[in-house]
Amino acid sequence: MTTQAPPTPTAPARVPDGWWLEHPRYRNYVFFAATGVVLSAACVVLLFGVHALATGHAAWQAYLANLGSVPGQILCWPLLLGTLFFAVRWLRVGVKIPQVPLGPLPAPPAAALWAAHFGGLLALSALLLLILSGVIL
Amino acid sequence: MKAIHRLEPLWWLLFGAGGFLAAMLLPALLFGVGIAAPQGWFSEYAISFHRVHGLAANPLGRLLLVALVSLTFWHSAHHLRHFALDLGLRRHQGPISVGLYGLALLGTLVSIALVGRL
Repeated sequence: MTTQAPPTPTAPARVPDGWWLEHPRYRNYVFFAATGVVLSAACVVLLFGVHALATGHAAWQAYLANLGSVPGQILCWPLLLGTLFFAVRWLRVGVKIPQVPLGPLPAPPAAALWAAHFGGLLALSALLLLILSGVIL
Repeated sequence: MKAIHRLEPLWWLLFGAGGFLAAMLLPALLFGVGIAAPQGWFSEYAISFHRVHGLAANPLGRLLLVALVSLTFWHSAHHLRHFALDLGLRRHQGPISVGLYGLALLGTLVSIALVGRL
């Protein structure tokens, strides 16, 4: 005869005291979630560039001129800061996940994970900028 | 809604792949294209139409652009969907999920079409 286990007791969700901006964890969480909008907007900016490249020389020049204008820079700088915030936060999570012990294998050392994640970001960013700036290719 | 729940592993896969690509490539790409190039910090040769078109239109460039843009859209859709649930919008999760994933699908199709025109 089998008996059904009673449901696990759970406490009701706690509503934070005060405004969420006063809590660093909530603030970071909300900003991180909002990067979904920032990343999408950055991709839309890039897609306009692809469209300009597909259209022709004049469209590409107009695209660069639009991005270089004051409204263009007012758009691009916050997007850049948002993508940087996302990248750092994402990679910090990426460093923590492999440190959870799973099975018999020991977790890799934290220093190696940090070096791999953030070293990879720096190396790829440098490579992309060297290509875009015409230093290589 | 059941179909969306059944595909949950796929959404998480796209979320992870998109997050990784966006974290590794998007800041540098956005800085180069959105700030350094229009500000004239790169040489005229570097940002000339023929050179940039050549970079974007080669097979690796096309693959990178489609993968980066489309997977980032899927990542953002999944992230925003779960954020909406955390905000207490669980009762509306059907239309929210369909809307966000629909936008990601639209973005994917647009990116494939635009890159295909290069």
